[in-house]
Amino acid sequence: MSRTIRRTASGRGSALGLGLLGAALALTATARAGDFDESGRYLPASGAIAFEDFAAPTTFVPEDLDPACVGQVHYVVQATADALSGAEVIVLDGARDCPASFALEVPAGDRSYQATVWLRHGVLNGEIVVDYPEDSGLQDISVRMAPTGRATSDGWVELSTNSLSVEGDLDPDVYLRASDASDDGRLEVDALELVEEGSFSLQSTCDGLSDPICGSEAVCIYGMCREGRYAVPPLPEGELREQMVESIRARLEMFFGGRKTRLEDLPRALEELDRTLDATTPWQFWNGFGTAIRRLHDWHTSASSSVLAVPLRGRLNACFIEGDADLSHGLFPRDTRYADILVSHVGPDAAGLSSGDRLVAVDGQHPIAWARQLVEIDWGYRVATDADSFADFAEALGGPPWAGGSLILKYASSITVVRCPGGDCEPVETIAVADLAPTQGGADVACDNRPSYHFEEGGPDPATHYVFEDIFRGRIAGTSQDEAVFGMVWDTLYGGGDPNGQVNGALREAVDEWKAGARGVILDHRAGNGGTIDAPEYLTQLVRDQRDIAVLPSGIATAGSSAPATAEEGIELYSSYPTSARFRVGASGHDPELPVAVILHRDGSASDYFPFGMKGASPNVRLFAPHSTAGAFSTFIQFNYWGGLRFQFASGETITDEGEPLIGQGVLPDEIVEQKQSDLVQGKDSLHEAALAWVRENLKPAGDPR
Amino acid sequence: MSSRSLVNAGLVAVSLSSLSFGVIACGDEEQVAPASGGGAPSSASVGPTSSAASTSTSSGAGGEGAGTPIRTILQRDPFGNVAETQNLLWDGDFEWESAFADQYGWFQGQSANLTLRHLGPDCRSGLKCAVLGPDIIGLAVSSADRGLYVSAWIRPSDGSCEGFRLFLLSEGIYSDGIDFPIPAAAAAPDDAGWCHFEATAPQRDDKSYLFISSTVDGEALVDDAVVREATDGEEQRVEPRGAWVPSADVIERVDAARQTIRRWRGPHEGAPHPGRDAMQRASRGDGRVLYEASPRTMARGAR
Repeated sequence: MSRTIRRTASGRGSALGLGLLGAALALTATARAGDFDESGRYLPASGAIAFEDFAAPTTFVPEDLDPACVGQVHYVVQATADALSGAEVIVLDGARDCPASFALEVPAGDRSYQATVWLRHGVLNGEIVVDYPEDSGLQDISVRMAPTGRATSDGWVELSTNSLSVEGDLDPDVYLRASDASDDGRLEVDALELVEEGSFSLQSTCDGLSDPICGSEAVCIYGMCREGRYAVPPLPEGELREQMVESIRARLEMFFGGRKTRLEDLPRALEELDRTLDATTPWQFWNGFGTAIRRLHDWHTSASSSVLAVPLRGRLNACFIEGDADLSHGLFPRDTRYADILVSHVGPDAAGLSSGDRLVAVDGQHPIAWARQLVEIDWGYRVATDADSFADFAEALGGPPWAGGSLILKYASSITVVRCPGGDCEPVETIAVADLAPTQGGADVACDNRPSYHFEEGGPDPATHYVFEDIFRGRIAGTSQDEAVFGMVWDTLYGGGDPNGQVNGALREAVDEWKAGARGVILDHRAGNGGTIDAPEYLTQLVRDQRDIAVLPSGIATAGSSAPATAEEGIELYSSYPTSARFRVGASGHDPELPVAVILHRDGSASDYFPFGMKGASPNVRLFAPHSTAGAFSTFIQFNYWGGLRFQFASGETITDEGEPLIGQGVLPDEIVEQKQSDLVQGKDSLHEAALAWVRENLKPAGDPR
Repeated sequence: MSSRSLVNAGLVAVSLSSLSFGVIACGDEEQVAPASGGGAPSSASVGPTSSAASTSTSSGAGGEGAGTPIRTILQRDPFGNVAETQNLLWDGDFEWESAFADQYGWFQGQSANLTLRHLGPDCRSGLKCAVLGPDIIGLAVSSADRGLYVSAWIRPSDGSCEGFRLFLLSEGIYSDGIDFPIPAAAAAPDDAGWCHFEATAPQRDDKSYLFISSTVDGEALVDDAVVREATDGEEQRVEPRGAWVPSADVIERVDAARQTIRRWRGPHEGAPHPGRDAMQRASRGDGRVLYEASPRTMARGAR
């Protein structure tokens, strides 16, 4: 069920069919922003719809402005003889969190515009916002700005939007939201201009990605068609586009990946990239580029844009987790490839779901299969490098968008669930995503693959699951003082090279305390966000003697080189590296008698190296997880462009002391343990239960502190 | 959707002196157009123009009647020098640089990102360039088969090309690449104020880094750095540099660069970031989330 929204100024709406939408799209205007007179002074285009020379700008205070910013003014109007237009410019003072907003008047009627603005002495984060009255039924839009390449000898640089559609009859507020990304208080802005350009398109509701109403130039996100061009730079034209594509292709061929990803994934990405040569619109080009990056299939590799920076619709305040739906296979069989998807934990507005309920399908597909096909459209797409690890997808199905979740709310039309209150499963039920409206307020729950926490006291708040950069330690609940079983819950390994920093300091202190007083330890790292290599090195000092077990090059050394094809070549390469490049685990003062259980689920990068350094350290170390880690054994480099367009990709390979390349080979657990549906409905955490049982069977002898 | 609150801003007059940014020049390979309709020379390159601030001061705020245009119009490639498609530097033109990156294709000082940067057409190509204060280190790859042609441009503030030290460093396994110096092509900058440094280094198997250092006071812009496979002709011009003896100061700085390179081996994501943290705080807690946080907020550390 889709419709095109068209509201009258009074707010009364009517629905238009596709035919009329097509007619609306056919109305095209082309104009160009202003130009310079013979003295070098900028003049607006003769047909300019609006022009602001900042002699006395009209500012605008958006309703969603951070309350802390209300009443603050972070710019001055400044008289200057070399203003681009008129005699004044505005100078932003570098307050990044409180953007300045400047209004533009637009006439009545459905029109398409292009906005331009000029800046110098800094970097402007600029976007044009179209803010419709609340009773219009339309959603606000935000259109990012990027350089056109036009500049002046005295330092002015032009930014422009792609074309943007405005329903002027609804009297929207249109304004430039400007913040200084250069942070030094010197950024000057002048000559904000709006001209007619492009084809007008009506806002449309939509019902998930499978709804064709959005066409090829928009994406259905949160039930509305979002114009892709609003979020990307202009289309590079002609030879420039060819050079862009060739340059990016060369970057990927020269720098990307390790053995597995270069052999299996890079060719697919290059095929995708080559298709962008034929792009005819900004969205075709840039989404093709983003898809190419996503097809590299690497945990360190991603592309992002502001296309997801849109108003949220609905709420599904629930977290999902891979597991074994042992209570409900009679109602819905297990997939042959993917694990079952269960509800881990919930907050208010969770569609009535509870821990242990089962998500059997999204838009009729297994939830993981559904999430994987978002590779062509989702600019928040995250995937493990290991081809058999899908934890990133499961985690992202629910949870809040600000933590990378809400895939269902963003893109789905319906979900199919099996509720199992008290262990009694009910018939399969399908819920329309459009019906998932917020009703109760309350905090969003974060998804960390932990149904519950198990400290005697303290620990993360079970109502929110906000672990983030914190590190929680304490005695494990349900154990005796004499058993002395301690645990740690944490997600970050960002040591940052500082042995006494917040993370390394806490880890080193924990290691010392456990060696002195613990008889068993449970390390719960089920949402391992990575960090730096020093933090896992410190943790391994608890359990093993010092040893080098791998080398971590700083990315690929020679253009396009792959990791060694044989173990012999790998050992030779490993041996060639200086000790400074090695992953050095353990310490002479480790405790070989202390049983240490490591619980894993979705772990990548430094959080791959951590279990790699722990595994096999001694018989007293055991890894518990449902599957392998992400296998992101590399470094990466980031690229950031204007308007929120970013990408990063992995480079290099980790080689073990046995000559094995590790990229894409996540660390396999010693014990494969899945969350049981029958446990979850009883409030039990299957992985923790397994880990605790093993630790108890292997307690270090009492009175033997290290 | 907002309630309207329109405010006419007051005018604040400010002295021109704080606005002068000095003489502006442009690179010689990008299109330059005169101000439209003005009959300015359609030269393919433009030398230093008169100071915009001083010109406009003399001609008044409107500039009407001035004989010389107060500015020239340029057309820059907003993606930088992408014509150099086979550049072995990750981002030789700095166009993909951002203060928000955890790790970027250039280090500066001990940082895994640039700490000083510049935006404007006074960069030699594209719109972004680096600013030399602390030394910078460009991450590159080597060629398995050929020597490496290296080229970089620096715009000094003192009109001399002699205060800069550039090397193609080698760091990794084989120690087969000497720290190859990249000399200035001339003692003085070109008409646009830029010094060109270039050389061809012998083939090496180790990973390459372009080290750029200044020994003089004052900021200098760095732009349009290229490391690429040398052509046959360039390889024939490789000069032995092994006998070259750097000063103690340069040795010390190169050693510091190596320490930075080693420090940032491996991944390093999730560094604390005040801006990102502020957005997370604003998005959590009671009430509904109105907007997707910026992609930066979705770094692994936020998951």
